[in-house]
Amino acid sequence: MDKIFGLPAKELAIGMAIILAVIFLLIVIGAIRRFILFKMGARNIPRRKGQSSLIVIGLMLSSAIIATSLGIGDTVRYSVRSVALDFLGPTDEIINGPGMKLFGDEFFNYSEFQRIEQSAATNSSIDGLLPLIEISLPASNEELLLAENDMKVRGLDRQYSDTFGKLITIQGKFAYINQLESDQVYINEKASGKLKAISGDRVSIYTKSGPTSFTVRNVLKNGGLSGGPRDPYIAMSLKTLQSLIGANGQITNIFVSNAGTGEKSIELSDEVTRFLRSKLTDPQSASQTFNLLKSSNIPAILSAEAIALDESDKETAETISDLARNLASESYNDDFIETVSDYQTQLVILGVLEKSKLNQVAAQFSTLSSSLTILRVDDQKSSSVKLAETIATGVTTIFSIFGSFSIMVGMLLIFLVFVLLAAARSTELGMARAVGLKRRDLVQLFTYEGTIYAFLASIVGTAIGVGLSFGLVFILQDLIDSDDFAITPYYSLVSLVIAFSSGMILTFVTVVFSAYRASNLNIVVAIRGLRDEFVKKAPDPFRKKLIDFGWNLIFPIKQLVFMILGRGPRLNNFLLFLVSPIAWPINILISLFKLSGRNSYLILGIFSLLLMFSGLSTDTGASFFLGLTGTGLSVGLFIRFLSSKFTNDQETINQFGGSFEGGLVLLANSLPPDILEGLTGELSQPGPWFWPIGGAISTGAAVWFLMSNTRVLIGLLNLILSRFSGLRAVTKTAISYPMASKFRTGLTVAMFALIIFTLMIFSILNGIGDITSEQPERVTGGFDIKATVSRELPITGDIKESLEINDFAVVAGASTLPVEVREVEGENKSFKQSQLVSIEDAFIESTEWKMAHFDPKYGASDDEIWQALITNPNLVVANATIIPSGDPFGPPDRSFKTSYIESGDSIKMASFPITMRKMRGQSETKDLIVIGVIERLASGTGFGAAGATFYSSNSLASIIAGQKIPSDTFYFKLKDEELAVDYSQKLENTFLANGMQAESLLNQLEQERATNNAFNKLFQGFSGLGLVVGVAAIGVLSVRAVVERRQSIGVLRAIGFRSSMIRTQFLIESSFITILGIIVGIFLGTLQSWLIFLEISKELEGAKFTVPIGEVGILILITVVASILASVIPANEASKTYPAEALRYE
Amino acid sequence: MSDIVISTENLHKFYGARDQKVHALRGLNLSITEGEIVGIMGPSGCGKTTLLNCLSGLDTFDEGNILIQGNTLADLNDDQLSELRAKRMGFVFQTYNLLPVLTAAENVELPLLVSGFSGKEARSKALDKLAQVELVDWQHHLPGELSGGQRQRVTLARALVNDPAIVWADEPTGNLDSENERLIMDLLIQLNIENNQTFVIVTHSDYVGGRTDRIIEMKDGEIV
Repeated sequence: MDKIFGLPAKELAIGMAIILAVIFLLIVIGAIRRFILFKMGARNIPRRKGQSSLIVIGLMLSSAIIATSLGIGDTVRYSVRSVALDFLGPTDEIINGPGMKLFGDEFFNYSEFQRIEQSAATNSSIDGLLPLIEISLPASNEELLLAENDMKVRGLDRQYSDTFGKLITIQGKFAYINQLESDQVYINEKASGKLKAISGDRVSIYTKSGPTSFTVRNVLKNGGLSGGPRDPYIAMSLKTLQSLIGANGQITNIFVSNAGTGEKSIELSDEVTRFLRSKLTDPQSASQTFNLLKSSNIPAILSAEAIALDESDKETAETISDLARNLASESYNDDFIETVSDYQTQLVILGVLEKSKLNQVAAQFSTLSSSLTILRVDDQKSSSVKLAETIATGVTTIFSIFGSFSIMVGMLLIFLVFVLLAAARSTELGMARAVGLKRRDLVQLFTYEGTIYAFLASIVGTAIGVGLSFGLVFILQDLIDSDDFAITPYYSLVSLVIAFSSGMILTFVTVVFSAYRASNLNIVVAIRGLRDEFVKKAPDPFRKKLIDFGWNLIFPIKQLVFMILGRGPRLNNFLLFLVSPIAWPINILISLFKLSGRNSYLILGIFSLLLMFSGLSTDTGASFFLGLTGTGLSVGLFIRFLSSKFTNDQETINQFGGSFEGGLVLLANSLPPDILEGLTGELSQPGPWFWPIGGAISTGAAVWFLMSNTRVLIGLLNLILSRFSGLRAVTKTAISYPMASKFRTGLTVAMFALIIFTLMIFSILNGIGDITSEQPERVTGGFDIKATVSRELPITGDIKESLEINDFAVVAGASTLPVEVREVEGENKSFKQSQLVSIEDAFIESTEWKMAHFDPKYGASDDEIWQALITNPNLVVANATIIPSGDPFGPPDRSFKTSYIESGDSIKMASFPITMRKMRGQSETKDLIVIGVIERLASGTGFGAAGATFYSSNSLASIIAGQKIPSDTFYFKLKDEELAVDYSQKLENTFLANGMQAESLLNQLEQERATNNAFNKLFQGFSGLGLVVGVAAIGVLSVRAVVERRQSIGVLRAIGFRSSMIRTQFLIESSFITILGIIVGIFLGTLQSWLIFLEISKELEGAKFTVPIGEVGILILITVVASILASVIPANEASKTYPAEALRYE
Repeated sequence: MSDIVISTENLHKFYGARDQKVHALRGLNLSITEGEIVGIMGPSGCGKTTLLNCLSGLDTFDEGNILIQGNTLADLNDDQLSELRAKRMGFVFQTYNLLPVLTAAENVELPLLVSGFSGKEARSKALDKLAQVELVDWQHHLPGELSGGQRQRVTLARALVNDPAIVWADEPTGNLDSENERLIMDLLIQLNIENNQTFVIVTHSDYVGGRTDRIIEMKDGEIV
């Protein structure tokens, strides 16, 4: 991939590899200098093989998740790319008509090809050209009564085709267009499958003049000139097709092949495209356009517009900025032509000119731009490769975001493991300190051990991640359910390096941090096995803290001075000097907090308020909400400070302070996004990466709140569980132990909570989408079948005459027209691409599509709004795509957007005027009023509208086009909806000559739902990987607990605990921790889902918020059972310990 | 004459395997009567704690027989032994061995909860016992917040809370200063008088030994 996590992949891999090399080097140097420390750290690994294996399994998750995300991205990229390359074969660029035709195939004269051929001869980067016609026509196998309504038919110029690329038969032999007789064709494998036709069979191709029969000379392998595997293709000679459709001397495309093959030919794509565009642009129009845009201070206006657009539309901003730069030249160049001949850019320039009141210039530009392009050049192969890159990056991002929760859980586990390791070895470490080891020696010792774990875990994790990514993409392919898109497992070296390095670095950083914390031990406490609370370090005197703060203000100078004077190890000072750009601000902050001591809430409060105000002044939601969270925390800390003035009981202070700290942070993080909108105004939505950050903050806050209230929790649980006499004694100890070890219990609870939180959101949001199964008419409009016909072969006359009309309740046609739209008074005054769908009254009168927004002036209900379209032909409704969504994952949508409505606005809207004209329609415009917006639910399956679409009564499309626009889409409502699938087939047969393609809408909806559900389950499964870590944590905790509490087990056995009670105690303990995590996760997941639901329900009337009890039950069951299984072995070991032996243990 | 509550017959116990076998108890015969306070004394490694563990069912033995209130220990399975300990025995250890995560009251009531008492009953009895050892004001404190003497008194309260017939004490004053040692022994003897319970005390302390009714002196796994 080119970019990973928004950074250039190769550079990232190199950077990470360098960091890794530095880490290894430091470890090796350190180990050589003090081998004894390395030995002390490393020897623990082979000694406790079981424990070491458990740690490695737990630690590998970060690497595994990252490796999986990258592997999926790599495979998707490679597969999409392969499909595109197979489809295009030798073709790198495709030359098309000028794009002036409103609908149907656009032909141009063969002489254009001859002109281009002459020009291309001068360019060594162009290898070959192939003139052809490619159109869609219905075809059938009359003998078997099989038809394909959307057959791609290619007429290839025999003079060029045989040298342009190879046609290969399924027998593996070369085939040539030259060999075809005038009644012979080749078909590709896909067409052969559709029509069940093989060599020697007859197939009919339908044109305006009726069917013509051809003999299949041979079946060709899919790919290249015979067409990709997705569509059925028929290939014949150009002359034959020209005469078949009556287009003598005409072609639709010219295929261009670049010199070289593979990457080399793709690399030439930019150059060849620019060359061809310059040759296919009218030089006089180009020169006039260049001079026109140089006048009236336009370059400066364009530059200003680029700056204004930089935030909202970076790509357009860059294009305009480039254009302004090009205009600074003396004469136009290829770059100028490339920019200015792009239709979207032309619309933007027009908008800028009109906004600047340069109406005359705009009119001139409009006229010139329509004559600018003789033919369009599409750099198809290069674009396909870029598309593959975009899809792969998107997939990687989605999986990384979903996986980030598991990565966090993995890091928590590393931390937990080291806390436990330190506890287990406290006596040993205390002794080591007593005989002279320094604290930094202990850090090194732990770091060596941790690095070995991290190294092993990264290897195992990366290997598992690679395997998992391949497994998941095959499941993805199954979900896509298409034989046409072959998934080819692929893993790039760059991804491998990044996955291994990032997993290793993440683990290493956590290891060093954990080692630093673990090394912070009191020698006496460690040797005697006392609790840390017994010995508290006296705080530094204020004077020392002040001096430290002063030094940290000039941190780099301090390091330099220390290095020169030799205060402390020189190497350390040098390294700290090197990292001072990062360490400087951190050190200032830390020393500032230390200086303010118990009043540090003030510092936090000031920083948080600053962050909030910065968010407000820049309208940045992320800064504002982070500031708000910080403010909540500082208020909580202040309450802790206050409570310490009233009581000396630390437990009470912790309970009070912790409740407010956790509670307020949770509250600040769980506010509905628009609740403060009245005060803050509209803030930008935080990006997708904010989600895991917010999730982590909420989880941390909730766990903090919970662990601050263990007294209440123990009291409550004892009250409930004391009712079960058999369990009284067991539950008392089972609850008290984890509640006493707040830190490690809190960490484990947080791990489970984080994962359950994500899974809950998936489950609940999936349920909200179920509205389509309860009210499918909101998607289908209440129609049973949707059918499209070829624009070239429209149905003449009344369609109803060809139907058994008694079987139909409603039959309605619609015609589609590409248009340009802009607001009359709003902010979006530039024309943007859109689509107009003019629909027959029968559709309007019977549709059950609902409005997400409507102007009550035109009606009080959905029906009345629809009806208003018939009453007044100047009224339109739009699809929800006109509302800016800010979807970070979707492809960029450059179609029309309104400035009147925002996502989440109430259902009532004020109608607004727009101006519409046909595509490239120049001055003939039509003013219309938008009175409603159809809910987003209807946009999907309904018309399959990808961009902004407006719906009007029947006549509008023809009025705007200035010509009769035939119906291209038909909607059918059957009297018996059960017959929809049968009727779809019937309709396709009846209207074969029109190339009709019909589909049962309910069927299609059902398939979409099934696919969506499957995708959700896949993501749920991926996110659920973190549960493995949670379960591993429970296992590690249980093993440790059995060792730590051996003597207590002896006491319990002495006072009468049976061995089964000991086992039960440990199992209840692990289930209890797990259940706490589950409860926190369910609570947070439900809360977060509710917030999301509030937003969704604004646009989705009738959306219901339901917690899927069954699914949650299964989730709880699986998690608890897995936790119990993880603690069965240690629990059994505990129960088998003989009391006298346990009592002897120290 | 009082009833014999504890008796052994030719009791043998070995540790280790094959070549490194240690003969910890060498054919011991003893009997202890109801209400008696018996001290077991002897040098380190002579088998005192091993004998106590075997008698209380905390450890197994290899040969011979032990009878506790008429129950032959060798015939009881692990669960029956646990029940015997829960209902008829109490334990006091040198290192107190209180559960650090439970308060004083919770530690004391735990044996009652094991025996099936309700939470309320258990708490009420536990407080009574804590009152007897003069620690009722410390009921909500964790062991870590108590002094050594206080902890041992809580251990004593825990050992006696279910009115056991026999209390086993392994070096009950081993971690205490002489003042606390005296206090604990006073308390122990007072409880013995009040409840007529049998006390078997393993000790190194001559003072403790001096306050028992009888001393069983051991050396190299034998009674001397």
